[in-house]
Formats: sequence, C-alpha cells, structure tokens
Amino acid sequence: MSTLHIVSSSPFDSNAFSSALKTASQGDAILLIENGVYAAVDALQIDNLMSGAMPDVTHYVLSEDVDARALPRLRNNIAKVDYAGFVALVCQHHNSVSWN
Amino acid sequence: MIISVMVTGSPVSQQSAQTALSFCQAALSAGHQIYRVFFYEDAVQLGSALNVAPQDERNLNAAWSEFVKQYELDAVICVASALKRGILNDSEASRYQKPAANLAEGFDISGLGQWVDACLNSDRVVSFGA
Repeated sequence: MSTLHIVSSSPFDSNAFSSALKTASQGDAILLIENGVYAAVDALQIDNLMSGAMPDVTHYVLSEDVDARALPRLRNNIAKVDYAGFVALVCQHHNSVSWN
Repeated sequence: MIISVMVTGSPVSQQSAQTALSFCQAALSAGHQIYRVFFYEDAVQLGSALNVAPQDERNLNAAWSEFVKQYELDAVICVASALKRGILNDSEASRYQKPAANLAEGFDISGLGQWVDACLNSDRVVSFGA
C-alpha cells in the first residue's frame, strides 16, 4: 500500500514539504505542485531539509508549475511530470495525501 | 480507474481550482472515469453564476461550469459551505426566503455524505486546496 504525497505549498512558507518527507515511507512518492515546486530547486536549504529523509521515496515535480515560475535549476534527484503523469502517479499509488 | 476529486481552495486566491480542473481533464483524456467532483469550503465559490472575471484573466467559474456540463459530471457543492457564502439554488433560496438563487449550471448543492459516497465508490480520491 503506497502513498502519493502531494505538496502544494512552498517549503519557505509552510512545513508541508518537511511533513511529507517525515511521513513518506519506503515505496511512496512525493509530487510537488503549485508553490510546492520551490522544493524542487537546487539549493542548500532544500538539501538541508532533505537530509535524513527516507531514501526509497521518489520525488516528482509538475512541469507546468515549474515553467509558470521560471525556475532555473532543479535538483537532479527529481523527475518532471505533466498532468498526464500526475494522473498516472495517482493511479500507481493506493492513496494520496495532500499537504498544504 | 474511477476517480473522485475534492476541491477546497478559493478560486480567487489559490491555484487549486485551476490545478484540479487540469487534473480532471487529464484524467478523462487518459480514459479514467470521474465519479464525482466535490466542492467544499471556499471552493464552493466556483458554483456562483454571478462572478465577473476581469477581461485579461481566465474565468475559472465559467471554465468549470462548461467542463462539468460537457462531460455531464456529478459536480456537488457542499450545502453548509455554500449557504454561508451565499451560493444558493432555487430550493435553498425559497427555504431561507432569499431574493435570488445564483447556482451556476452544471452544479448541484448537496451534503458531505456525497463525499463519503464518492470515497466508497472510487478507486482513487484526490484533494486540491488548503
């Protein structure tokens, strides 16, 4: 029973991303959408948040929301998906949790 | 798969109603079935037929209304959230003796039990908004 954690708030505004990192267990995935995509940038603050996170959790980011915010450089341990990919992720996991 | 979607974010101050619409369109394109879309808390504002969007902005209320009509989706507005925010259909307007009803085409007003029913009858449920 795996879970898709959908994070929609910036890691600089809320604890949503940190909470998802702490809650996600092996085989889960984290999808960053809306302002949550700021957790996909290649930055020291994000690395610090990620340290100690569960290793077997795949990270995804919604490409439309990355493009809308013109984010220059994403960390290399994250995969871009479009809305079709978003739907596929929802179907691949048994449950979804939305973190704001 | 059978998917249900809950939307809770305000359409005027949050992105979630837009995200949910794009998600629903992608789900239908991929051949999935949408059992119900449930609008709760501030997202019930999407059910108003009286909002006017600026000319250079997308009218999300109209986009959602068109979408649910086009695909004949079950789009439910939570009654408790709706009444508090002045979204009424004809029967609620007459029940509470209000001068007008403003529920947009394609939407129904009903209770949270409809979301429980959606959870029981869907393979996947996804929530959008704070």
